[in-house]
Amino acid sequence: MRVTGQMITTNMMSNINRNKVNMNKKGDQYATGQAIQKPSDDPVIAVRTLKYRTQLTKIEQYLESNIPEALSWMEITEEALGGVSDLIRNINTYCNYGVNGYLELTDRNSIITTLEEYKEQLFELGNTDYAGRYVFTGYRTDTPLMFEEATNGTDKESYTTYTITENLKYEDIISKSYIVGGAEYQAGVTNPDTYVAMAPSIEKANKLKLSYGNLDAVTSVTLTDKNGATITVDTTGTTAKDKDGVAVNPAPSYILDRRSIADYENDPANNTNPYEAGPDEIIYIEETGELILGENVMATAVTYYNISTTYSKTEFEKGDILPEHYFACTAQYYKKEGGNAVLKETIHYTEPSVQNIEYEMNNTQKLTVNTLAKDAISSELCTKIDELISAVNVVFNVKDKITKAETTLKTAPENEKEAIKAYIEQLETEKVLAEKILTEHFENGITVTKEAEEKNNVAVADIGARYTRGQLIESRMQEQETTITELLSDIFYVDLEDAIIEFNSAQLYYNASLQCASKITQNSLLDYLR
Amino acid sequence: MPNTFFGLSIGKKGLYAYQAALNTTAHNASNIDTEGYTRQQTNRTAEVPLSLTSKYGMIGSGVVVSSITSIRDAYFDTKYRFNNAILADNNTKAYYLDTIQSYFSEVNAEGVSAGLDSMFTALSGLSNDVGNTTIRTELTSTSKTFAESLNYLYDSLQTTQTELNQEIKTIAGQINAYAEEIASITRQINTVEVRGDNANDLRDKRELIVDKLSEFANVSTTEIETDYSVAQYIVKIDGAVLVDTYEYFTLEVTAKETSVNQNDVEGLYELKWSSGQGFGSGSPTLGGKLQSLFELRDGNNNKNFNGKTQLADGATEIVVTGANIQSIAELNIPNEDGLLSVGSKQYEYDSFEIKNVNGEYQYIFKLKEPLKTTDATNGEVDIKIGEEVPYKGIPYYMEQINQFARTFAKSFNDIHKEGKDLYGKCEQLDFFTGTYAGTGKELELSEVDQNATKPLDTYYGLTAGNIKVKNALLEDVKKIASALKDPNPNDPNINTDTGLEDNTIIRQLSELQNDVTMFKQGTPSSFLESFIAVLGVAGKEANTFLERQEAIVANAEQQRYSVSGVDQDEEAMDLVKFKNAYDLCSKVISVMNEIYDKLINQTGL
Repeated sequence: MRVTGQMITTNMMSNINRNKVNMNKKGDQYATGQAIQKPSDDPVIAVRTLKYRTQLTKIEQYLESNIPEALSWMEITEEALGGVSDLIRNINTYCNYGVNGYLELTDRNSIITTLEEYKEQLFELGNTDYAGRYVFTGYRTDTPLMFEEATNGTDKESYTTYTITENLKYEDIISKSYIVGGAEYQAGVTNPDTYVAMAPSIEKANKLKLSYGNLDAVTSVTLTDKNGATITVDTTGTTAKDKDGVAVNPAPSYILDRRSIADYENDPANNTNPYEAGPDEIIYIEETGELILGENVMATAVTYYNISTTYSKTEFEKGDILPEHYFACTAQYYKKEGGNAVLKETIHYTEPSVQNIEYEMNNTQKLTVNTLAKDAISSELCTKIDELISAVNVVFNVKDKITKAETTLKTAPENEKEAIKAYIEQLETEKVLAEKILTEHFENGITVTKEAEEKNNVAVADIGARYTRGQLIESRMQEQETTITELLSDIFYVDLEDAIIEFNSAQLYYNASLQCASKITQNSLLDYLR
Repeated sequence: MPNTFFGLSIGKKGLYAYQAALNTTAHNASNIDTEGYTRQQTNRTAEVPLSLTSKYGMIGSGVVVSSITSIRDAYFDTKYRFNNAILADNNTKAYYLDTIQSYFSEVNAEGVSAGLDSMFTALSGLSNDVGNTTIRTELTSTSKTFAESLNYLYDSLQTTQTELNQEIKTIAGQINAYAEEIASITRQINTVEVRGDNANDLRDKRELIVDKLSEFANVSTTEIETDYSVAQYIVKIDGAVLVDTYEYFTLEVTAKETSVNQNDVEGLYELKWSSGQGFGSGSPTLGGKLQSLFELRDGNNNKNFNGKTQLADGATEIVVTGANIQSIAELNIPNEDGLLSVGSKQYEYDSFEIKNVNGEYQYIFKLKEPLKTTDATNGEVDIKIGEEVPYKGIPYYMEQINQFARTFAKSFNDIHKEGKDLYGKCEQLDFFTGTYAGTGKELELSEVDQNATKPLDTYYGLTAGNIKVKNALLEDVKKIASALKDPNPNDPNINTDTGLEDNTIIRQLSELQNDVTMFKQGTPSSFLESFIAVLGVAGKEANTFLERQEAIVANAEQQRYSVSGVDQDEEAMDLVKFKNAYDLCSKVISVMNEIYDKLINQTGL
C-alpha cells in the first residue's frame, strides 16, 4: 500500500486527538471527583445517582428534622406526664390523710392553699408547650389546654357560649350524702327543744357530676340503651324512641328541673333542697354542675346506661379545661349591638379523639408524637379539687358558726343559755356530719386519683413505647443513610487513587503520541539527498 | 535512413518531456498541503517510431508527454461522501444533545429533580409544623424554584430550537452558493476539455465542493459523456437535482405562518426547491447535517395528533373523533394558526375547542376557510396535525416536560383545592398555575366536560414554560391549604374547626412523592429519571455512533490519501529521477552535437 505524508500526519493528528480526549475525560474525573459529567457519559449511573440523591435528601430530612423533632416532642410530653403523675400521687396522699383523720382541720387557709396549689400545678403541666406549641391539645397546638384567664359572662360586650355534649355512664353515678336541715340561730329562743327539732341529718342522692359547674343551662339529658333506643328528657318532658328512631308512646313522664344552691340557702323556706329529687325528676344544680336522678330515672338508667347531657356554659374560670379538648362542642361568639347580643360566628369542634399528630419517620412509617389530654389527664382531678374545697368550706362554715355561738353564749341572757347550748350541740352534730361528708369526698378523691393515675400510667407507657419505636427508626435510618451514601459515592464519585493513576496513564499516552509524531514527521528523503 | 539531425531532435524531445515532468513534480510539491488537491502525473510515451523500409525496421523517435492526469479514484470519493454525511449527522446530534443535557444539570444536583426533592423536603417539614409561616414560606420558595427550573428548561429548549432553525437557513444558503459555484466550474471545465485537455485542478476544486456538500446531505454525482466531447455533470441531493451541468436550482427558505406544535418557536423555516418541487425535509434518506437538524427540530417520536372526521362540503368546523390523544397532559397541538391535514388536503384553523363526550375527547376545529369536498367523497376521512417524525427531538422533549408539568400540577392542585387554609377558609385555590400568553394573567384551570371548552382554560394552557406558583399563595403563605375542608363548606356561618395541626392535606401532598400511579413511569421522580435516561441514552448513542463514524471516515480519507495524496519522499525521488533523465537527454544533445561537429566540420576535409 502506498503511504503518503498526508496519511501519516492525519493519522498522527487523530491519534493525538484521541489521546487528548481521553486525557480530558480523565482530567475531568480527577478534577471534579465525579465519574460522569453528563447523563450521556453513562445513563445508568446518571439515573441511579438521581435515585440515590432523592433517597438521601429524604433520609436527611427524616434524620435531621422529623425524627429529632418527634423525639423531643415526646420527651417534653413524657416529662410533663411525669409531673402529672407526681401531682396525682401528692393529691392521693393528701386524700389518704383526710380519710384517716391525719389532716388537722384547724387552719382553713392552709388546706385551701394546698388544694389551690395542686390546681395551679395541674394548670402549669396541662399547658406544657414544645416550642410554643401546646403538647396535650391535639391539632389545636395554638390553644392552651386550660383557660389562662377567666372568660366573659353574658353581661359583657362580647362573649362566647359553649354548647357541650358530655357522655357519661351509669357507673359514673355515685351516691352523694347531703345534710338535710340543721339549726339556725334565732334570737330570744329559750326552749332547747326548738333547736333539737331542727337536728340535721344525712340523706343520700344519686349524683352524676358533669365536668363543669356554673352552667348556663342544661338543655337535655338523653339515656341510651345498648340497642340504641333513647329516652330524652328536657325541661318540658320526655320523648322516647326505639332503636329505629320510632317514637314510643307513652313515654315515661320524666322531667328536667333546674335548681340553685344559692336560692335554697338564701330562702330555704320557699325553695326545695336542690339535692332532693322527685322519683321522676332529673335535677341539675347550676352552681356545681351536678345531676341528681330521681329513683324512677335511676331504675331506667340501669338499662339505658349511656347518659348524654347537653348543656351550655359561658363563664369559665382560669384553670378550667377548654371544652374542645375533651368534648365535641359548638362555640358561639356573640357581640352586643345596641344592647342585644348578636351571633357573630359559630365554630363546630369535632371529636378530639382523632387528632393524632403524625410525624413522617421514613418512607413508610409514621409516628404519633402527641398525647391527647383526655387520654392522659383526667378532667375529674380538677373538679374533685373544687369539690374538696367546697366541702372543706362547709366544715369551716359550721365551725365558724360554733365559734360565733360560743361567743353569743357568753353574753346571752341566762334564760337563753340552755337553748344556745342545745343550738351548739346541733351545730356540733352538723360539723360531724359535714366532716363525714368531707371524708366521703376524700374517699372519693382516692378513687378519682387512682383512676387518674391509671390513665396517666397508660399514657406514659404508650408514649414510652412510641419513643422507643422512634429511636429504633432513627438508628435504622442512620444505617440507611450510611448505606446509600456509600452506594452513591461508589457509583458517582471516582476513587481518587484510580483517578490519579488513570489520568497519569492517559497523560503518558498523550506524551507518547506527541513524541512519535515529532519523530515520524521530522525526516524525509530530502535529508539524505546531497 | 532518417534525417541526419534526427538524434538531436530526440534529445530535444527528452528535454521537453522531462522539463514537463519536473514542472508537474514542482506543481505537486507546492500543492503538498492544498485541500482537495489530487496528485498529478505526466504520462510519457515513446514517440511514434519512424517506419523505414530498411533492414532493421522501425526506428524510435524519442519520448513524448501524452497527458497530465490526476490520480483519483471515484470509488473512494463516493465512499467518503456517503460516510461523511453520516458523520455530520451524528456530529450534529451529539453536539445538540450535549447542549440539551447541559440544560438539565440533573447530574450536578441542580436540575428539576433537585428542585422537586427540596420541595418535598419543605412539605415534609411543614407536615410536622403546619402553622409555621417560615416553613410555609420555604414551601412556596422551593416550589417557585421548582417551577422556574421547568421554565428554564422550556426556554432553553426553545432557544435550541431557534438555533437549529437558524442553522437550517444558513445551510440552505451555503448549498445555494455551492450549487452556483459547481455550475460555474463545470462551465470552465467543459471549455477547457472541449479542446481535449484535462482540467485537473478545476476538477479538484469541483470535487472539493461536492465533498463539502456531503456534510449537509446525501449527494450523488453523475458525469455523462455527450457527443460533443462535453460532459454533462449532475449533482443530486437526496435524489433531487441540485446542479445539471450549467444550470442549478436553489433552496428557497420561507418562515412558516402556521405550526403543528403548541410549543414550537414562531417562524420555523420551510425549504422548497426553486423548481417548485417540495423539499423532503422529513426524508429518512436525506442524511447529513440537514437530516439531523430537521429531526432535532421537528422530532416527536412518532407522536402526532390524528383522528377521524365526517366530511361535509362547505363546513367551517371540523369535529374530530377517535383522536389518538385522550389526555390533556399530552395534548400539544397549536392553540391557533395550526395546520390541519384533512385527507390529502391541508387547512388552517383559527382555534379549537375540546369536549368530553362519554369519556372520549372530541376536538372541534374552527377553520379559516370552508371545506371543499368536490374532489373527495363525503364520508369519514383521516385527520392529522404534523407528521410522524421517528426521532426524539425538541418537540418530544417539550411534550415530555409539559406532560410532567401538567400532570404534576393537576395532581397537586386537586388535593390542594380540597383543603382549608390557616384562616379556616376553603378557597379552592390551585397551587400551581400558568399564565395566559397575551395578558400574563393567571390561568383559570378547569376540567374538560361535556360542554365545549377553550383549551387555554384547561391544563393544556399550563406548560413547562409558564408553570408558576399561584400569586395569592406567594403573597400570603397562610393561604396554603393544610387541613381537611369543612363537611359543608357552603355555609359561611358554620366553621368546623379541626385545629391548627390538621395536616391532612399537606400529608396527602407529601405522599405524592411516592405516588406510583401519577405517571406510567411511576412517581414524579421516576418520570424525571426515565426522562434523563432517555436523553442520556440518546446522547450516548450519538456519541458512540460519532466515534465509530469518525474512524470510518478517517479510514475512507486514508484510502483517498493513499491514492491521491502527494508524498514528499516520492516527489523528492521524482525530482532526482527526472533531473537525471533531463541531464541524460542534455548529454544526448551534446553527444549529437559532437557527432555533427565531426560530420560537418571534420569529416571529409
